Amino acid sequence: MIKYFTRLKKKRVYSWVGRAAFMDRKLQSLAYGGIYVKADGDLTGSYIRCGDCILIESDDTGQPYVAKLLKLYDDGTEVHRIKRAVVQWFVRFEEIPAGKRKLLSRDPDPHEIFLYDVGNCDNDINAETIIGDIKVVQLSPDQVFQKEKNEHVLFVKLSWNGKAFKPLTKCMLPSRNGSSPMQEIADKVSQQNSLKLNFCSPKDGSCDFDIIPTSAACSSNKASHSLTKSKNSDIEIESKHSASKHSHSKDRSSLRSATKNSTPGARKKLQLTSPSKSPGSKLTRQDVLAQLFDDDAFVESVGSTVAKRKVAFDSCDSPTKKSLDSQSSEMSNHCISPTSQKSSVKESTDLIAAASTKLRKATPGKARSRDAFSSIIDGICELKNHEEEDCTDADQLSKTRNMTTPAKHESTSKKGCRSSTRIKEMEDTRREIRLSSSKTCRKSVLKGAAHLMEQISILNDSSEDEDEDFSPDSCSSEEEDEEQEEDAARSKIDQKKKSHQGHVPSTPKSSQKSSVSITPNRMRTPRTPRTPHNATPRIPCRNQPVRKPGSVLEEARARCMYISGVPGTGKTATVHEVIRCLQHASEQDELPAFQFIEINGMKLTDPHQAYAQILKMLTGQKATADHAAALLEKRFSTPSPKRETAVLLVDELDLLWTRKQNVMYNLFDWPTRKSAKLVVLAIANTMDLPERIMINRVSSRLGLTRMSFQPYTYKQLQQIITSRLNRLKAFEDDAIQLVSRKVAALSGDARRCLDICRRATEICELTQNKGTRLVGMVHVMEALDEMFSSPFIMAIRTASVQEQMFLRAIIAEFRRLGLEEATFQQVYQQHISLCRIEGLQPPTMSETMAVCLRLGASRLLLTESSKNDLHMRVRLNVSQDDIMYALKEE
Amino acid sequence: MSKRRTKETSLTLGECISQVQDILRKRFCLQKLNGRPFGMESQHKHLLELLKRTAIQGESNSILIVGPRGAGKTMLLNDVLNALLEVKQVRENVLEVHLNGLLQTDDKIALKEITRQLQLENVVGDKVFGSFAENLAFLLEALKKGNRSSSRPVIFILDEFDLFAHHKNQTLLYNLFDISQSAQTPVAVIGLTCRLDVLQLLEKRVKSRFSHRQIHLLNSFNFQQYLKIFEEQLTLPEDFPDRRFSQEWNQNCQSLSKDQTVKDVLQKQFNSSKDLRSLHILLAYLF
Repeated sequence: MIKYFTRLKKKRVYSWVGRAAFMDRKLQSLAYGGIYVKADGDLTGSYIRCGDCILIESDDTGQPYVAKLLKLYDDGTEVHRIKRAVVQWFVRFEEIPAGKRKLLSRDPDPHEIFLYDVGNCDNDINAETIIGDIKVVQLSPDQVFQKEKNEHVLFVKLSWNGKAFKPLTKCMLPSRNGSSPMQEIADKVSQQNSLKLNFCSPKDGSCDFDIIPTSAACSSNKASHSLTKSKNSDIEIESKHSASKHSHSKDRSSLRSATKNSTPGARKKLQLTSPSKSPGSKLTRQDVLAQLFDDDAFVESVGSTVAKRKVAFDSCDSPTKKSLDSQSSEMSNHCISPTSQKSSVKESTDLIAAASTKLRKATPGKARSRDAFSSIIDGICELKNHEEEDCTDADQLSKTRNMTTPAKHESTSKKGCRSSTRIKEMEDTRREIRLSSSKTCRKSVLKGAAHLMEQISILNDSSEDEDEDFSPDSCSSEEEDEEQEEDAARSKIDQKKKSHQGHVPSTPKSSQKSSVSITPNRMRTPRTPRTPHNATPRIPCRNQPVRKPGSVLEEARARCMYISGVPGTGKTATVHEVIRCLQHASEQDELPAFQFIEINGMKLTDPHQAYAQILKMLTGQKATADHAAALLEKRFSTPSPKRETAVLLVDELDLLWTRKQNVMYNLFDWPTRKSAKLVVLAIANTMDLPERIMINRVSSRLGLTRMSFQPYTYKQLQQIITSRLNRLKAFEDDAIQLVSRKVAALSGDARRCLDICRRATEICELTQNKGTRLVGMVHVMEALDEMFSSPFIMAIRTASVQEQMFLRAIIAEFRRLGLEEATFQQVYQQHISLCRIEGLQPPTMSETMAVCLRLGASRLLLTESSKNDLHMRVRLNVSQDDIMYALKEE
Repeated sequence: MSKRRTKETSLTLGECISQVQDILRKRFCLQKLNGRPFGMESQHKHLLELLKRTAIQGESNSILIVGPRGAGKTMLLNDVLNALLEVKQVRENVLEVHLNGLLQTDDKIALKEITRQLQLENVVGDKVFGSFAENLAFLLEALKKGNRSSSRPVIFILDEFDLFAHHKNQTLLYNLFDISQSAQTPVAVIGLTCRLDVLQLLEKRVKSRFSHRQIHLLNSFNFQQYLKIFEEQLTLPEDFPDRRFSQEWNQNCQSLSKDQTVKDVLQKQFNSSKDLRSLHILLAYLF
């Protein structure tokens, strides 16, 4: 593969080519036909026109991105004008998640790229990231790759939609002069643009209308730009639109502006900004057409939806809602009355907007449904506009509708039904919440395991969804209420998904279910090491915790989680288990792919090295800690649509403490960024670590999502041993119970428990060579003794006579002084007199000093290491009673 | 050549004495002792079994040998390692890393030393390059890549183990024990220390990863056994060239240990300290 240098040190200069055309006068955005890129060292530079294929600076990999330039424009909303470009992405084989690469079932050509056809991709980029142009040649699926000498030619054969490779249809011909349908569409768009622009031009005059800030206009403006703000309404809707709709909606907007129908009133209600998450482009004519119809279909579906809502609202007597119902049913029947009063229109717009927001909240899960939402909103806007538009427009709409094929009708009606049921369910849930909110909340938490699959997808989307994540009616309600709603809504989504995908046999498996799978019952000797990291595919007694991180992760708000617990309680193992489940799920395509990275505070030499390690694991780049911090900062603050969500596990968090705490601060700050796509799980031993060592701004970012692992009880330990034994009868039941009770009383550390068992089996093996007897109480007792008995007593008993005498002298001196400390000189006096009593030859001072230091070396005594003279202070490291007990028995 | 063969049977007295001096100096000054150390049979068996399991079956382990100075910890370990290396399969396979708390005073030096002794890729000649962080990451990566069946087992011997516990954050110990707890490259971590309270020095997360196996070497013999050790250390081996001379020598040794003055001296020594090294030093003065 060719290596390009993306981080060119030389600066590039960008300049527009061709005359600027007003794309949107209100927004002051200007469209251009081409851009001239000139690098510092390069004399000629290169001229890039719309429709060319270009290379774009990538943020983390060595290879630049490839894309086709669709449009160039100048964003006038900022103080400094920014050159922007709309592109259709291509992916290299290396950019496809490793798990999905096998789907290609052949070796990719080194020059092969794929059309990126994924729905939620940001295709609006900064034009100054363009490196240069490249030639892309389309090959038909059966065509062989040519041996091209020129390295700057790439081939495209297939498209990649995030799930599968699909052959490209004929329309994709990204050659410069190609007149592909795509090109045609683009041309059409530009024509329409120019048409519209002409229309808007001041020459045409004294028209005092504003261009409606429709999705098209807005989506071309990446920066969220509030056009107008109403004084009394707090409703803001931010919608997303697929790029493929661009042409279509632009089309429509141009038509609309042509009919001189603007609705200042309605516009005031809406702040339409779109970060334009777009799924590349639909390529075929049919697709574009389908997209066109889709919107209309959704208009219709909204109609039916609202009709259904009537049922849902039966119990409610709110007059406004009724009016909405009547109104929307009117809409759905195309009986749009231009005479409807403006105030009621406003009211209904409010309600529709509220409903759509609710809806959006309800299904954060799937890209498709999100698309559906945006289209619903689209539809709603449309309807709203229609209300005040004159008949011509309505005619147009109906004309478009008439074009819809019957088959399409069927599918759209189906979709409509679905969304209507969704709404109904939403309403039900909401009512339920009102009645028993706490109950639902708990239920949703308990559902965690089943949610495991959803959560990553939510996380994946949430970064994009976040700006939509507030509901208009939450302004009045309290925060708690909102969260409960979300919870309940999510649980409902699961139900919905189940009901929708009823035909799919593989519903998300819970960790409990997967744990049922029997581990291969190999005949292992019981002492075979089965360590927490690798041994069993499941963690016994941690079902609840396994479920919980899932459910906690699921809350899109909480991107950090703190897990605490004493050593050996299965914290890391549980997280690994959860990740394994999720990875399995993502392999099965139930979840979007995600990246799991792990750092351990203990495996770092310095807290700042965390940056370097994270960067290395994320991108494979090597950098110094400072540089890595800067790169990560950049990575997490710039949106990159193709990037996978990353789950970062930080083990032994307390070691990342620095005086300024900037490492911890950054770790917990990144996930709060909108574009970071990062989840941080932090593990440490102490429960109150955030309160104890973190300063406020750090602990506040960590949030309150905490989980603490309790030490294992003896029953759990028993279960762990039994599961590790894997139904191998090697231990007497009493022995297992003894081990588990002993460990539970001491520390509740599962590692200890297993170590004792291992030692016990060794002892058993050593003691009897013949026959296979079980490990019994005796062996366990011996193992326990070996591990937990204090060596001090034995050490005193086996000490030499003089050493024992010296200890006695110390006790005698302590008793005389009434202190727990004496100088060597004082003890020596006692020592001499004791020797005389015992009839031993008194040792010399230096001999006694040697004795004293020997005892000090084995830490029976505590001596001052700095001072080896007569005034050296001596203390005991063992209790006096222990010494007396040890010496008495002789 | 023929001359030497005749000399094998009967050496001159002077030659005999010089040979005896040679043997005994080797014993007392270079610690190449005669036979197995006394009273350590069970510990010897335990340790050998444990190391065999690492070397042959690839189980990871960690163990501490605790005992006062001069109790024979290093002697025991060396003896076990020699016994282990007699197995051909082990000799080809096992890697040994010797560290000493007095030499490797911090983790940075220790890591370089480990990398050097393992002859990993980033060793150039006899020097290790790269920063501390790089070395740690590299070493951990190297050890992590291994698995139970295919990697060569590594035996880490940490002399003056208690000093390693004073290193910052106990990073080295944590990582070694963590490897021994997880299924990575099979390692055996053997710590030698004279501090009886060594476990209290370990941080709790390090302690949790340590297997809590300990061998206590305490001089648990009485004076009679002490005398026997004394005698044994002076006895000439069976394969001494001049048989007649060695028999005479050994008989004299026995009578020496029964002599009252010798007994008094030894009793005094025994009372003061039971450790065998001081006995060796005492005996070394004789030759």
